[in-house]
Amino acid sequence: MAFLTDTDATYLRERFAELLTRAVGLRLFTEPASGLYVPGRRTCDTCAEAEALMNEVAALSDQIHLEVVDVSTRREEAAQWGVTEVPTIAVGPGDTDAGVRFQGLPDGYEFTSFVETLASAGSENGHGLAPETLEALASLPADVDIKTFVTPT
Amino acid sequence: MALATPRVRSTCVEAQEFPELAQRYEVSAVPKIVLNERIEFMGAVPEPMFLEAVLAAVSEGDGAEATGIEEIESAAEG
Repeated sequence: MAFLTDTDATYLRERFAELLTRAVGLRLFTEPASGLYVPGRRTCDTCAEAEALMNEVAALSDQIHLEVVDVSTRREEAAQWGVTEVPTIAVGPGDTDAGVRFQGLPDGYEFTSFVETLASAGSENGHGLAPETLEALASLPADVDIKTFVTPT
Repeated sequence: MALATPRVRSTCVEAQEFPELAQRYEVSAVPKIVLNERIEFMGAVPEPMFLEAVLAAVSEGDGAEATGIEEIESAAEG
């Protein structure tokens, strides 16, 4: 089943054509169901949906590059990107790690935030922050980890 | 902010899909934002206030947490 209606897809394709001035990387960390039930092992309920949604999004613009990483076979890469849960989607300009992650399927209201983040990553100064904010961020003495808990409804 | 500086990392967590995480961070309403495991607040806040919370998250001393939360909560109510 498609996530995006034809109207949504057309709208997003036009918006992306306008907004994306550079390449954006979407790296989906996933663990596809093996079809084998292993007691005690968690299965990823939304990995297949996340992959389907990301494929739909990636098809909307040539600037969007999707890489699907199966963590069961590429553990090192997941560790390198600090990914501990699936599905996790890393969004960043080009192939760089901008430290932006979406953990869980970004559907419902979350999809709007996801699309906005994608658009921000796809343009120079797309973050839209005020000069004062940028100045303060440039002199941060230590790293900051931001976790935002959301629900799709 | 994460896009603007390598110092900041941002993770958006779907609370229903990761109940253990939601429980660990005592998420009772969304959006809930947690900075460096020491500053937390609910809801969207204006950019200057968010920056203040970010700065409080990296400030030294024990007072930062209480100050950060209080400032944000009272401002959000008013």
